[in-house]
Amino acid sequence: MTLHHFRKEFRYLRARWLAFLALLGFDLAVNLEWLLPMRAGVSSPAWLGYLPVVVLLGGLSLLLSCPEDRPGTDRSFISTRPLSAAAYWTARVLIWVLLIVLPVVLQNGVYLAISGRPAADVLRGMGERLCLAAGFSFWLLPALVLWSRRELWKALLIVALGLVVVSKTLDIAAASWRFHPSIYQSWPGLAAGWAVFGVLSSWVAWRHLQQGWRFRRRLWATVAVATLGLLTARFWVLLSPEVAAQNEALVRQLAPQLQMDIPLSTTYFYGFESESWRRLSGDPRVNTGRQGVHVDTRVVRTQVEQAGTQPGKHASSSVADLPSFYGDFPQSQVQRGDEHLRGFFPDGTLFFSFAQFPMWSPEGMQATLASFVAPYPDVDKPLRVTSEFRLDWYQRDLAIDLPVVLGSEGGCEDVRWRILGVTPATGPQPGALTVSLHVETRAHWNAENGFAILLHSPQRQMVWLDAVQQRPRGGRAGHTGWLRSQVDLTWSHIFNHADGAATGVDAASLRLILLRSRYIGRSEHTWKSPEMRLADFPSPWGKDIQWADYRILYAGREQKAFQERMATIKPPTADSTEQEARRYVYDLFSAASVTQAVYKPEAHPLIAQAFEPLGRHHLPLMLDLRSQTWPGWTNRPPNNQLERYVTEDQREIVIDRALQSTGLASLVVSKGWAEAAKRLKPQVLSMHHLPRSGEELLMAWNDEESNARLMREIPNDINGHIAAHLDKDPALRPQAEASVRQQMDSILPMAGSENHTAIFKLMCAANFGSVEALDLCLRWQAIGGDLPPRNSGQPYPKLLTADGSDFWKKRMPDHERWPLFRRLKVSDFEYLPEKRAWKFRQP
Amino acid sequence: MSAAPVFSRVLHQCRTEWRHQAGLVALWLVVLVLRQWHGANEVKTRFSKLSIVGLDVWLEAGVVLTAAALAWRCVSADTPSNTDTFSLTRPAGQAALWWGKVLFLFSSVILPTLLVTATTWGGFGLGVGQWTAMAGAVVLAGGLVCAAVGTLTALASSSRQVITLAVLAVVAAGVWLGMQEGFRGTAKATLEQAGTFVGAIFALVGLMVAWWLVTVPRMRWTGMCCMAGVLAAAPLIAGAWQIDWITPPPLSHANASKLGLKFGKADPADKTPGRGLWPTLRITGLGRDEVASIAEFAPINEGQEWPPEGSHSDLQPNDSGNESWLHTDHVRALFKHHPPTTLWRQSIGNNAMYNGRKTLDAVLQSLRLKREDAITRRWRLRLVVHEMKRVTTVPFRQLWTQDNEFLIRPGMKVEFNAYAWLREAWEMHGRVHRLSSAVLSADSHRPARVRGRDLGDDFFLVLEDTELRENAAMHLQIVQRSGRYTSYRNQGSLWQINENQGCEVRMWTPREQKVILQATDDEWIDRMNASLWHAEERGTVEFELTPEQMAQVIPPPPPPAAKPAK
Repeated sequence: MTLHHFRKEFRYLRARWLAFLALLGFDLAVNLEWLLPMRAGVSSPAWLGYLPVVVLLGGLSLLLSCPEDRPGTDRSFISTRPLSAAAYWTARVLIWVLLIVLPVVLQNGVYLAISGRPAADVLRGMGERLCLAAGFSFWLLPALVLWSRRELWKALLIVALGLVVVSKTLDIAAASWRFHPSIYQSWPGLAAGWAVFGVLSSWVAWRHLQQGWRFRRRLWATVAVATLGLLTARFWVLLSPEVAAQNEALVRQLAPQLQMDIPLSTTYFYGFESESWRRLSGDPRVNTGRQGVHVDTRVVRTQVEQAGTQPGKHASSSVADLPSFYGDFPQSQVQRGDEHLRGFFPDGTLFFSFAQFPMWSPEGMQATLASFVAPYPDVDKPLRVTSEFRLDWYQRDLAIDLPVVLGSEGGCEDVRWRILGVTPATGPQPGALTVSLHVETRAHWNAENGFAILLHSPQRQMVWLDAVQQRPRGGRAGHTGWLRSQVDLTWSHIFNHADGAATGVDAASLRLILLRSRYIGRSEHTWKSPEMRLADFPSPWGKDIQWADYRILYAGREQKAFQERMATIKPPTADSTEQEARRYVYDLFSAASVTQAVYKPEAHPLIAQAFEPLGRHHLPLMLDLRSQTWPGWTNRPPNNQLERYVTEDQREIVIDRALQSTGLASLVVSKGWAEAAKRLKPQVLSMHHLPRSGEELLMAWNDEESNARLMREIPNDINGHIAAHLDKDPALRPQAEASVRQQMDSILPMAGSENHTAIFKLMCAANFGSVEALDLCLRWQAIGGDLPPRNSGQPYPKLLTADGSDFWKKRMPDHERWPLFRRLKVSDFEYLPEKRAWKFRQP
Repeated sequence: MSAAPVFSRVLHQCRTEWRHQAGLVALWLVVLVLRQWHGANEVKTRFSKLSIVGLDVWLEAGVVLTAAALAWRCVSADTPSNTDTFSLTRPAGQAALWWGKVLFLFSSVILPTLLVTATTWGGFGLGVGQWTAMAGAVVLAGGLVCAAVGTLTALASSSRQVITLAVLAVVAAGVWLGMQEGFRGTAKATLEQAGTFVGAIFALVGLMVAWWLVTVPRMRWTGMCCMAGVLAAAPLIAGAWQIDWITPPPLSHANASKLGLKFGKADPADKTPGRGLWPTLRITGLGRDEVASIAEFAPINEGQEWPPEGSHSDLQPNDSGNESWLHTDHVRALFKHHPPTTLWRQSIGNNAMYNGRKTLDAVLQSLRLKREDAITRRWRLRLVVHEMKRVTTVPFRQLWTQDNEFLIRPGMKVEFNAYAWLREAWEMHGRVHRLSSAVLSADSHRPARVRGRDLGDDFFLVLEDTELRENAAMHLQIVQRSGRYTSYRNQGSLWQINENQGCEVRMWTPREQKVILQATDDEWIDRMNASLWHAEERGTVEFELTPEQMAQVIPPPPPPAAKPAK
């Protein structure tokens, strides 16, 4: 009877089913690009986006059955048929499986097989398609039982409204836990939600067939099961596995040898005032022992021990802290400008990023070392921290490397590329290159890898990390497991510099590269800190006063504006109150900084003169205020004025406060009190995070112990002051030189996007004789005009003209400087080690 | 027995409809009020949980669909095409029946919409003309929905057709929302708005006639043809319409004849040296608070488009996401309103003049010209002149603790929320709120256009510390008109502009005052006044410079200093 009923239904649906098969065939032909193939510079028709919806509706229409045999229809004759309910429903399920689900799954399998996917991927793609097709269509079977034609629209409307209300309420409620279920909802979740809705609706339909439920009861039951389906869809992400680990064996092999060094010298403490930043952050130096493999660290638990007690224990406290929501997926890990990325390319390669935000720069991206919760420990008392880290391991490689030539193809197991078009002359900037790229990507559930498209010019020894413009031209074959798409990528200044000069690059010599990032597994690590005081670590935001820096408002009349302003302010006398003196200090500093007089040498005598009543009559106050930042250069007024007024009487007070500010430390040194200040030495040597004032004192003491501590500080010596100090000692010179040049290994020489630390380290290395660093500096200068408007500048190594004068003192206009540096090579210079500078061989 | 007067029968029918549809009307009113509340609330709040839910489109669709359902229920109860409804046996008469339903739909759909939306029209200083135009737009939009649904329902005669109508209604709601979005894309009074307005009036009249034909004389086919004809003709009329009474003209400087240029280094004896664009090029004749910005400055190359590539402009595109274009010269224009030794700070978030105006050498560089070439050509200088106008001065405490709004001109207000500690800083969020009819421009002129962008309204908030004699001019970071930014909200509807450009001031209490003066935050707040300044456009003006004048503007470089003899 089952087969009989199936055959009867099939006869009724035959024409419709054939149309459905034709639709699937059309979809297959489009996906395989037998029809409407993707062409360079041509966007796919927008209506192709609706094709999956049409296929779904076509499939659902097959379930409607012939009207007479629809159980929910008033006019149905099904109850009069000599057919058991079991046979009837078996036949209905057969129709669903054989006529709808099976063709869809098979079509997907055929698509994957013809696309050349391996058998495992074909099966996986078919499995995922089965879940989607079954999930999205099964619900209609019970729905036809539940609703008569007259009820259908009303029921659909109310269920839809109910779902909207529940969904929006859920979004508002979940926002309290920093969790946004609508955003995190995945396709597997959606399929699961629909499946839950279908299965539970079947139960409601069965009960209805048994007991003849009234409309209202059926309606509320359906709203309830639809809500459960929605919750399943929304929260599926909590149950579903994270991104699959692709090489746990490698992680097991490398994890025991992992070197993780957490230098407290670069650690910051944010304080407990700010709600979202109660943490200790630092810069763990991790060596995995394998090129291309890096780890991403995350604190999962922090334990604090202070005076034998445990003030607060941190653990993941919010849904958003769960691993699924970290966002540390392979895609976010691909853009990591570290030594591994640099290691993929020949030495001396200069990288370039157009990105407005420092996507590729590790600068400022410190890792959390400990996270505190109430009750907070005492910041002034010693404590120890134990943090448990989760280490996520990622492996990056150059998966595809193609010449930029029309028609060139390449691929790896995840991605296949074909260059559809190369247009060398168009783009937003002169000398741009536009490549139309046909991309095929493996796109299974929970198996995504991270990708970045790089452009490499071996001729120019440059790698462009991101295109200035990416224009998607459409895609197809979504949810099949093998996605096809087309994208137009444009890079500026490839063939011409911004000033029009030719770069000499030949398009055929360019390489289009796929940088791939794969999640390979996870390990754990526990860090036990030494005894430390949180108060000893500075806040990255700093508590110093940021004096105004408005370069332009008083341009040309800085001195006059300062003079006029100060003429209206009454200087304090010996009889003035502290409040009056404070007001004068404020007026003086404010006027000097806002008018920019502090940076005008001709105004310095005026500032010194204005400072005099303070130095003469209110020295204690000024010493007290010296722990704060004063405006201007450190060796110019008002910063150098205390030296005129401080006498031996204030020596001990000044030494006591020397570590509070660089200014006071400088005062100690300039007054010749460094010896007396040696009582601070144990404290300075024990400090994990050495302040500038500490550096100043160590340099003044200049003994073996101090210099050893300073030598350890070279990795954090951004301005090169420490290196310059150690360089003066012939015994320390070789070690200092090696240490400075070694800093080159940890940077990514990347122009364009924010990268200040790398610029300084590159300059230092060049000044200490690194040929590679100088070469990079010269080429960086040569592309000065090509840099995006917001960039972190260029390196200025110490260069001397042929007659020995400072090259940079002669201010050369940009339009002359860039072409000059394009012509220069390292061989045009000779290195003068005694001057730590490079001299032009010829005038 | 004589029949009751038509008016009584119409009123009777209207009352009957109110009794029958009271529930649905109540639902419709709830949705309408909810949408209005949500719209007003949404623009005022930042980072609220409601903002992540995205209720706008649902409420908008809900309003349209509920109104359409109401019209459908009302008309289908007595649809002349449906023989089941016995409408012909009703003693009221077909004409009274029709008028009664029209009156009901007006009183239940259109009038409440008008009243609810008009609650937000106050405080914009709009005149009678604007109120009439905006009210007319609401009536027209509501009338279109009711007339379209009424006509279609009157034509339907079976449940299958009703279902078809329901599907059509959903599609129509989509089209409606699409139209709304289309209008939101421009948020300006344009010729396009005029065309659709005329097309819509034609459609409304045509649909009402079709509905009448179907209902009263029962001319079903004629009515259907009339409806089809109207729906086909209306978009054609809208597209072909060419009479533009809406778009305001650009503004030329009223005193252009009094403006002039002076060339070469200023003579110390000259009592009217003019204001320096560069030391060797000055403009004279500007009003006291007027500021000139260079829109373009470049040589005229015969037979080529002007301005050429590399032309200088003070008003560079701003890629920071806000529309700010005010520059340092505008801050300097405020100096004279305070004692001369007042100390000024500025916070301008655009990169137009961050380091001051480019030097003339740099201008020549970007044009790839040498002086010898530059002084052989005629040059054109296009200036946009704005006048700095003080909108208000209030105690800063007022901004700190309460919401404020200031009328800038009819149809435009600046609204501020009170300061709040958000994102680790004190932030004052606000918006430039424009409301007017889209078919009757509220502005007398359209803003100057420079390099593809309109120089919209821009403001400075000046914090004045009267005790310390220090002022800080901050621009409001008015967000660009783009749906990419959550603080840009365009809630305009058909033929009505209702746009909120979000703005924010982000600041910290001055730590230097806390440390040195030992002042508390409260003392700082109470010491200060806050002034809002608006840059009001005065118009555009152009000058042509001869080669001789350019030779004075670009003086020859000084000869290199001779090396002292050893």
